[in-house]
Amino acid sequence: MILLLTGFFLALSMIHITGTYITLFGKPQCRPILWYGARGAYLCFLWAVTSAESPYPLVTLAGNIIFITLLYMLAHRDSFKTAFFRVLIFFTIYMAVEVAVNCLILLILHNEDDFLMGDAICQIVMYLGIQIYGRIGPKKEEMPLPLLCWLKLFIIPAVSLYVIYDIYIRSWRYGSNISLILVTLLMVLMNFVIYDVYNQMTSYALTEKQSAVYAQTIELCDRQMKEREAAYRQTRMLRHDLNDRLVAIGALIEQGQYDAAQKEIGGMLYENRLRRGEVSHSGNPALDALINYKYSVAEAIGAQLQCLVEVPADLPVDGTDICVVLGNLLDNALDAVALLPEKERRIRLEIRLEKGVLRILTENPYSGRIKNNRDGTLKSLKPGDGHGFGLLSVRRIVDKYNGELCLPCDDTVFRACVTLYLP
Amino acid sequence: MLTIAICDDDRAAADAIEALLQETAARQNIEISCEPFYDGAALTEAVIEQAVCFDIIYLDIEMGGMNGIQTARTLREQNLPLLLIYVSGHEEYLKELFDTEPFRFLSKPIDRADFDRVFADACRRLQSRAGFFSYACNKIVHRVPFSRIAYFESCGRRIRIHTSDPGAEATDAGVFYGKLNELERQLPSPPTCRFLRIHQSFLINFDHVKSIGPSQVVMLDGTVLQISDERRKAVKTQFCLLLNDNGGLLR
Repeated sequence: MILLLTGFFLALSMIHITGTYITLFGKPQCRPILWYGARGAYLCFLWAVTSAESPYPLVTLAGNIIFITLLYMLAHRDSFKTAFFRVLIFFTIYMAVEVAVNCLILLILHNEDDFLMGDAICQIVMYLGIQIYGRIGPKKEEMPLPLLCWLKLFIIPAVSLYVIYDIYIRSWRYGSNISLILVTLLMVLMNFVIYDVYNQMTSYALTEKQSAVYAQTIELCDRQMKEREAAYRQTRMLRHDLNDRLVAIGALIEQGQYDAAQKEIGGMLYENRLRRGEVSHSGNPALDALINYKYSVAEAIGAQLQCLVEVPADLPVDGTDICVVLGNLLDNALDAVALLPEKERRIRLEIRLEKGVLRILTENPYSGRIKNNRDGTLKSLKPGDGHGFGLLSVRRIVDKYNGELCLPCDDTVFRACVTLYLP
Repeated sequence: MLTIAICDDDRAAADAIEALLQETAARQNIEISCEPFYDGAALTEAVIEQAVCFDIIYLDIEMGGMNGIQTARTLREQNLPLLLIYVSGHEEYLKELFDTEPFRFLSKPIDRADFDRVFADACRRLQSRAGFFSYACNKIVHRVPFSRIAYFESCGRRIRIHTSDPGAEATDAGVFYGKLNELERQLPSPPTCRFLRIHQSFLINFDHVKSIGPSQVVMLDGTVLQISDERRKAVKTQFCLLLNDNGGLLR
């Protein structure tokens, strides 16, 4: 009976410790009922194995790791790799502390049956350790490492677990001594260091991804600047051309050839309208240059780009920002329609200032399936590395302007709606 | 029946727009009545003095006397949710134009396809405003067109309707018993009806919004309404989707 009760209390405190550990990385994002329900299930599991004095400690350990990994993933929606690594390190350290404490007790008291005291001390130590770690400040943002890199790091806690288990068996068989305790404590240290390395590497991966986003932004700006230069040259040429044609019309009028003059003017208006109907002429240089450039790209792949641009020339948005948003959305649309038969290659673009909010809408038909990432963002459909940053950069700009990015897509049409709240 | 005003100091241009309208409307089987004006003052007088309710106004920007922007400002002061379509020979749009809540822009010389598309957009938008909201107040059933309702405000167990009609606020006719949550559910969903719940006590008509920020909304009559903290995220998303549902997609 007493064993059952103490077992219950130990399990309860274990729940508390693991719960504290998981919430170190942020508040649980699932519904409270799920969170507490899962922890209740874990409590039942713990109570059962501690009361039954499970004859297979490794099975108990595996059960623990699986349970807590699931609990972690339930709470944080991180990738499995991150969850599993964090949980494995936790249990490696936990087990090392447990073995060290038990070895110490065995060494001092020569009492081989009293696991309860060892468990209790171990839990206190772990709880204090987690509290201290929480103060130092764990890394909250996560970025899954590439599999190979993760596997290399993973070897260390996995090997440690084996070594600690081995020490545990040896101490059981041949009695405890100081050097065994020292080894387990060193294992704790080593795993802690590896944990830190893991965190450093994830933050490095995150920085790398962010810099990829920035690099892409810079590339876009660069291209846009070149396009602007080209547009400027074209305008100068047009002006020159216009001069010549006006002189010609003047001459026609002077000669009294009014019909010919009218025809010429009609022709000029028609050309002007053609140019206007197809490409952007908002007067905002960054916007116009980008859209006109993308228009030529669309033309090159035989896609039809319908533009509706109704914004003032002096839009209070940074030209770079708007180019990042627009460039990415149009690139996505162009990539998507390129996979379709030429007849269906249509893209619609709408940019409008309405109710003090700048909104951008792109629409294009697509084939295939849209996949979602675990965090609700879209997964890139494009093969290979270096993709998937597009919408990420858009989101970064959207956040900067306190705006919103919605992707209300259906089975055949992909839509991206962006609103930017102007300052 | 749509009432449309055309305002252009160039008679030929105004007539051309009217001819286009008649033709487009006949083809789309829509009954319209057009009234041309040749300067901004005449149009504002008709709207303000004679209280003519126009659904759509085609407005030239560059006019002698009162220009397009000034005319639009004066019209907007009346808080009427009319659709303003600017017609202009200019290729670039001035910042001030956007403060007058334009519906669309048309450039001169008018392209036939553009004209038809804009007219169809306008008709679709006006259709979405059709319909009445009925409620009982002092045992009398009142009917208010949705387009006139600026927002609903809950005060205790009662709901007050704020409309764009001047002087209506003072009377008690715009108050009825009810819960905003239930009302929100009963209203037709967008695009038929474009209402947005921004606060525990405010349900606003999107068409009466002048400008919107992350934390507050300014209505056409200048009233500033707060968006409650817990609804901010949802309002932002809803707003993003609402802005983008006008106009046919991929036609």
